[in-house]
Amino acid sequence: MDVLDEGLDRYACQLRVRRLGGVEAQRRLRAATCAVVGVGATGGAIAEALVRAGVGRVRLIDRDVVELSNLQRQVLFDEEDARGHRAKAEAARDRLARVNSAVALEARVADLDGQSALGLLEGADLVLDGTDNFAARFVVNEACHALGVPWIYTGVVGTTVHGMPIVPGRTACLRCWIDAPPPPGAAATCETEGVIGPAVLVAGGFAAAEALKLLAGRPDEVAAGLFMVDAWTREARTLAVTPDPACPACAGRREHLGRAADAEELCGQEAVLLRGAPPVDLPALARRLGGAGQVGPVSPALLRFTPREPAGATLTIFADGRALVRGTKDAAAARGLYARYIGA
Amino acid sequence: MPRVQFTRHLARYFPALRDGEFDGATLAEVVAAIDRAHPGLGGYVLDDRGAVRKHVNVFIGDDLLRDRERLDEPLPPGVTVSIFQALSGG
Repeated sequence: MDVLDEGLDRYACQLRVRRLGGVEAQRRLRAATCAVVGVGATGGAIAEALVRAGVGRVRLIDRDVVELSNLQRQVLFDEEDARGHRAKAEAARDRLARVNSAVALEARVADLDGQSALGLLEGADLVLDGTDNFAARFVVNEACHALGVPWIYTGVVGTTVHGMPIVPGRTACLRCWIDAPPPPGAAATCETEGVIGPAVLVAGGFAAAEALKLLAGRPDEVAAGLFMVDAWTREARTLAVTPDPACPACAGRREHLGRAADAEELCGQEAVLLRGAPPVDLPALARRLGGAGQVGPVSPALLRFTPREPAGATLTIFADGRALVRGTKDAAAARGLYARYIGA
Repeated sequence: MPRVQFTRHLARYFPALRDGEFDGATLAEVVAAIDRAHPGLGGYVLDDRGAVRKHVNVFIGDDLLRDRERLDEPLPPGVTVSIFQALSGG
């Protein structure tokens, strides 16, 4: 169905923005497919903006379920979703279907890792990053190189927002400016440092605006480089990140794609063992986790952490990088908890 | 004298830390001055070999420092040095 058949009243305001490109731009949006990886806070804001703008098909990818503590910043969910522990991808689909019924919505309750990424992202014209961990972002970066599709990085912690559009072959990629994911415990996360909802909306707004430029056929107007803004102080900067001639991802090397995340369900136990992370500075991690739950005991070999939620979960982090996540048998849920609190 | 901007998240570990001017003609000298003022902060920026840690970003002005091991280049007069790391949350 052509966008003109739907009637343009719904999009009248954005059609008046000449820089976007009018009816032709609206047609391009209608013909486009976007994949949003992680539809919690930032990803939820992005997905809502894309659906309202009339992007034709939006794929919603998330491995997690809705919890009460999400509602402060995750705009697609409500108390009923939290009570029912609904899969975020499905709850987001149902909410967005009520926003714009002309958009084809695909819910994928799935863990994006090195083995699943290409299948989950295939067919997308643009990938939006709503994840909360670098392991997934390094995979997305390589997958988008392999598929030849642009993606938009966003990260939010506290009141600070980072964002960068990445167009393979044209701009710097994630790997051009970050050599490696931070070691476990070295990265601030929303669980350890907190986050305010308005910062998430800034990030979502930034990403969605860049998405509109790319999808509407205005790639020359994409703001290259790293966008940084503090939603509290209103400081904003754009820093130049130029392609690194030595970047392995730009050169086509696949170091993250094709590798499954290393997780093992422990037989007879409600627990998953995660491997593959680099060694951990346990005293530094203990200091960081202090506000997010109960830490202890800590020894030179391991740290035990009981997060405030979900109830019944504990994480035992070993100095050599292994992590034992109790309270679940599901590898994706275990990795989600690890990413949420340990941050790698 | 270079002006240095820090990621806000360092305030948790170095509560007295503020953006400001730190003495030094090279990045190595500036990081040493930062570490004198805030003991331990140098170890956040540099690894045991004295190279910028892989997950830490340093911008000289608006340009990303590419060679993490060459910290002895003269800094432009009055330049702003930004020290931060990519944000994980979303």
